[in-house]
Amino acid sequence: MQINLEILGFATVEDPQKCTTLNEKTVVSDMMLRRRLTRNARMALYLTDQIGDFTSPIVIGNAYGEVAETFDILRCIAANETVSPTAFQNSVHNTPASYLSIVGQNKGYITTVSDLNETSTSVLKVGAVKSLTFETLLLIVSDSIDFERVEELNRCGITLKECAVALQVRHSQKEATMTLSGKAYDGYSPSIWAMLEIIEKMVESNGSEVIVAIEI
Amino acid sequence: MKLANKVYLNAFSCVCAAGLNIEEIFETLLRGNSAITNQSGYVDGAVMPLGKIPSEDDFFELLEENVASLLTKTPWLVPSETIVLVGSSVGGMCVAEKMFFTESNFKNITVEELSIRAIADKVVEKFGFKSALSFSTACTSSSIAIDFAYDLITQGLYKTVVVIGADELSRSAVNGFDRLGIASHSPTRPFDVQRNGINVAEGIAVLALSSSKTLQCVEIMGCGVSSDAYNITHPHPQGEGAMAAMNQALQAAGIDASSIDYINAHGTGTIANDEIESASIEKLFGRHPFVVSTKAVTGHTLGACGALEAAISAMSIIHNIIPGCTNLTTPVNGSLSHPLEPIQTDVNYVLSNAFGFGGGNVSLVLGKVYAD
Repeated sequence: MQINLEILGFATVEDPQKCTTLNEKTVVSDMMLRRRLTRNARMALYLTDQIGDFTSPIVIGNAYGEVAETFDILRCIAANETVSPTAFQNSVHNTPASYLSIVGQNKGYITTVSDLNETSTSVLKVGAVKSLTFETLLLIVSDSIDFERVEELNRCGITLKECAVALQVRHSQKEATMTLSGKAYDGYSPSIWAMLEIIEKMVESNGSEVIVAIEI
Repeated sequence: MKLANKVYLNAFSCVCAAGLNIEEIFETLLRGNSAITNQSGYVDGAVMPLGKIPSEDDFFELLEENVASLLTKTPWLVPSETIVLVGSSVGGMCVAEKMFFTESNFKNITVEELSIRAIADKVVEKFGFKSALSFSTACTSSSIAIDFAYDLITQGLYKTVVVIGADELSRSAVNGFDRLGIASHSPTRPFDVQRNGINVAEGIAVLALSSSKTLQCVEIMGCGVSSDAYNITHPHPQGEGAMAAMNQALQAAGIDASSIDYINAHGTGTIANDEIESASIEKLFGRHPFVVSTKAVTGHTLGACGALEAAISAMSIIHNIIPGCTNLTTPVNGSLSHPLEPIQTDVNYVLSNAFGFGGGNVSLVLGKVYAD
């Protein structure tokens, strides 16, 4: 069971600590909305803007969810402090998807996948199946683990505490030019490895067509 | 595009506050007894009405028990040829909560245990399923998993899919909904003018879907998915997204609105959802279908509600009976048909809604299956 995806565009962003050039003021003009954005939402919006596609259906993934907001809620409960309503509404895994929908006025199919180290593989699978229905899709995976209070989460060798990747894809009937090998990328969250492998191939291909075979 | 296969909901195994299996849950619904109980220990200094599963078993033990129960009902289902689709908003969060509240730090937290993926890993390891994939879209999580299962089967990519909707009561969720001002401090009253919020609940629903008919199955005829593009917590005021999802589901099912006998509404009991969902249903369906929220009995099982309510909808179709509306005295919208008692009638088509944080909307159309 294999579906081939043609890669139409890609974008990446990464930083050892915290991405600082995400162009939030340009991408999100509403100041109140901008102030509420989570780290994952900021990266997802930046990548969507880089690709220039706010209207395609979206499959977005993250391995850990909104870690900062989630642990802030736990800390507040433990300290008998009041939980912030904004932290709670921003703590769900589909927060970046929601902000993408609102900012891009995208009213179509948007979903969120979370499969820890398998996240980008799962995003590609959902994207491949949905490419049989929709003309183009945007696939995004982001993870942000740059939080001093949860340093314990960062014992797995991830040196890039913020990284995100995006692909614009469509279904292809042509023969695949690549299959995923399961290549590892030191320092990057394993949640994005599968999509990084495609992006590496895109860079190497120097503009020639990349069609990736996705095993469902 | 021509679809290769139809999709059947062949069997289900569920547990929630209203019962330890689907038969018990459905009986509780027909009796109209709210299963919500007062619980302390979730919000400091407050007793909260919540939907807690009446079992001493650990949540993950209940998960395994329900998958095992499903597999005994479906001897034809081969796990090694089946993909598991999980829908959950909480995942293993309660494990992280317990560790943190015991140890006051995060040192022993492992990402494998706290992640959404924890549910899939558990059942794949225990039962040998071919693979798994986890959706986390707040309260639409397991509905959107059903939508993806529908694609996998109609496109001929899988013959059998297991969908799991599972969410455990967590202090984070209960406190969060309370702080947002949408957690009721009394038993929830969906669609009533006096409604004042949700009762957060826990639940597990494990569904077997396939391309083959079996005894007592129903057909999943169509799914609709839309986004409000409006607000993180408040639905679109004109219900645009909700109506788009319902219309898409009807279109995919190939039936018109007048064919729907029963709408299993999202019906959370919040001021905003029930008013907007009522108005949207009235616009699309008029007075014809019966409209019920089973959350008055089960509570709101968050990411599990789509799968749980698909099973409840299937029970209505199989047994030709629609539950009554518990705790409803004066409807917010007098134009809708809210039965106050169970209605025994031919139930051929049911539409089941799930709407969630972030403005996601999913509607499913389920239909009766007749013997060949």
